[in-house]
Amino acid sequence: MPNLVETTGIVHRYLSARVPLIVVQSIEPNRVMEIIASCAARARQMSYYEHSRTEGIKDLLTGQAVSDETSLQAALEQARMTFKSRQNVNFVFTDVEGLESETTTSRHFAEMVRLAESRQCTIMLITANPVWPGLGRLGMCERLDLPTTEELALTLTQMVDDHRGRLPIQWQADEVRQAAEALTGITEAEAINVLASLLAKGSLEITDLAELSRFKDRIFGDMSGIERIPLRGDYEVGGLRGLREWLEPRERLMKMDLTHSPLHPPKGVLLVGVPGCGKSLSAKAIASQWDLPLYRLDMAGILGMYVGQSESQLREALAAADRVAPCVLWIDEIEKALASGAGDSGTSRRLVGQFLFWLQESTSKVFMVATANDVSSLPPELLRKGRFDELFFVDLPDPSDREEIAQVYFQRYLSMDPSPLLLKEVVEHSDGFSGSDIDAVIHEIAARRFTSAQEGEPSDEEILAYFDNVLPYSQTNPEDVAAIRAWGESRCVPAGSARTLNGTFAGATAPRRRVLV
Amino acid sequence: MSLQVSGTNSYEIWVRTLRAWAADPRVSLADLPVLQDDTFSPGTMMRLIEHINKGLEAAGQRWVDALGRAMGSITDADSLARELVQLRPVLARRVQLATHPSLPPTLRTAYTKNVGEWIERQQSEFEQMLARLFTSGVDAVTVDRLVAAAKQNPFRAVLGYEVVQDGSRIESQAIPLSVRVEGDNQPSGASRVRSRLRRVDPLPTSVERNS
Repeated sequence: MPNLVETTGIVHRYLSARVPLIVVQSIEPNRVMEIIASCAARARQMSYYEHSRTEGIKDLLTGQAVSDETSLQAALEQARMTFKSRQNVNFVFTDVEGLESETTTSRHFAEMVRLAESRQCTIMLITANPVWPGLGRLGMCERLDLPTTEELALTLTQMVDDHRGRLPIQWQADEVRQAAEALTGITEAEAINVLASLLAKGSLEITDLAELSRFKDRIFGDMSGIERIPLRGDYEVGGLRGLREWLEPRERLMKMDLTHSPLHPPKGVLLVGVPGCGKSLSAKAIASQWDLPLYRLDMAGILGMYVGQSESQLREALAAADRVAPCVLWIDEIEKALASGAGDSGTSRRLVGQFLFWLQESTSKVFMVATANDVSSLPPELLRKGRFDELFFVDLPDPSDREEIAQVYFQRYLSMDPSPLLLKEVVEHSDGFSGSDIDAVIHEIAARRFTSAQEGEPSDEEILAYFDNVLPYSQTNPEDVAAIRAWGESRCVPAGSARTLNGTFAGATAPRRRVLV
Repeated sequence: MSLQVSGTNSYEIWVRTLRAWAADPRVSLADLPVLQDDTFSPGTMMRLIEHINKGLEAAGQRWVDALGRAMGSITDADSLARELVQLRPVLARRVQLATHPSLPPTLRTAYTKNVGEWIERQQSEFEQMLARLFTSGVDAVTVDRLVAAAKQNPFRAVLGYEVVQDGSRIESQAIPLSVRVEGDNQPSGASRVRSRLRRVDPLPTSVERNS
């Protein structure tokens, strides 16, 4: 990824070599102009002119207007006359349309480049897209990527320092660095807009860091392949203590500056287990608790009907995730696209390969929370050590988890604190229930009371009757649950307490992570 | 290459030169004798004006014909813009004669005003003609772009051209080499960065009124 300094060096060399056409591809023309101005300042013996549709032609070094005509064709005509009159003249053209393919404009530029070459002159083009090869091959093309975290940190530091003493500013170097990391993936102009918007409220506080991801989200809008999931503040996961304890240090790792450290940010977890036991909720809760945006990658949605389309869509989605980092990327039912199987012309194998490559190579702070129900079809290479940081098995909640879950939903739907006795009875009556089963039962109680305008708290008998009327998934599909548990026992770490698993897997020890090679 | 015409007196030189120039604009107008308002009798002046008008009409017609040919080959707004710019030297011939410094002052003033009005009229009619393309089946977006290209590359730009009278092609000027003072207001890369950074100042709490 060429950064500003590298690109400046390269452009300077091209200018010194009198390359007749220098194309700099970037979506940030202002930063490219910064590069060119910097190069011009180092080689002042030449003339530099800059054309834009809004300001016509200006002398790049003095900023003085030399022609009021804003038309591109008129500017090209003036460039032609200037090339004919003297050597070593440089013209910079911005916002030129129609250069991507063979058009009147691109052919005209090609003619101009040939004239420029004969007069040791240079035409510089700043474009967002690659130019027509017939034009591009007449010179050299360079690309300036979005600012790196270091470059953004420098820009933000300058701007923050400029406001110190005039506004109350709590941000120090660490906060600026965090802000730069949070904003990585957007343009410098957008970062300046975001910071200016924060400063516009009259102060810059530590808590403002949380707002950065929301600004970033607005900037990105709808991205291909991934969908922003709006988060509420009330995600509570009952149980899953093992997972929660494991996540604590990872949160710190996600938020620390690892630039000068050999460590890499956490990659994420794969949650497998019984349906309805909080796998998806966990993804939301992690993002909510870590104050990070949550994006969902719909694996089924990336499958396309044309050859190569699925791979292309997955690549775009993962690239989008890199751009919005730091974030939590929730991949729901990962097995739907990556399941190994015959009959898809190898698409799933290629998708797995692409996904693994990204997992291996991506250094952005994208914490992945992948969930899977049908784990038997997942390719073994996906589960190898080093792919995900950990594989967790999410089992049916144990009695203490069920108590915690019931408490959460009693409070949420009925605004009541159940008595210890009621909780104990609910736990007994909900044996084999998943978290979502308990959620559904208590929601049903609240909905019935709401629609029949019943006031006050429901009686213990009424509540228990609702629980007794439900046949949970673990009882309707005991074979499926047994199969999932058998898989998890041998390959995963328990997301809940080890005690639960010991009790659930009759006669078995707590599952350990098994490395598949 | 410029062509020169000779004659025995001022009137003859003017008339012969105008005839030759009407047929070939590369003929030099540089040696036309300087005329005053009273150089010729009114009758002679009227006859000269007829020759000047013929010359102007010929120059105008040459440009109109060239524009018509160009319209037959344009494919999009960019090609139209390019043709309009490239046809400016042809149009500039009319300006060349209308503003000729050897014309009697009163006549030159009138012709200069007239050529400006004529060009504006041509611009207006041309834009209307482009707008009418919609009725002949060209889609609205293309028509809008063509009209925009015509507006962005107006005929009147030739009025700003530096006119030469020696018969050589009248073109837009090369940008003159400016002399820069070292260390004086040259925006380096770093200062461009600084200029992009924004300073957020509190908004005024009340509307300030001039006392």
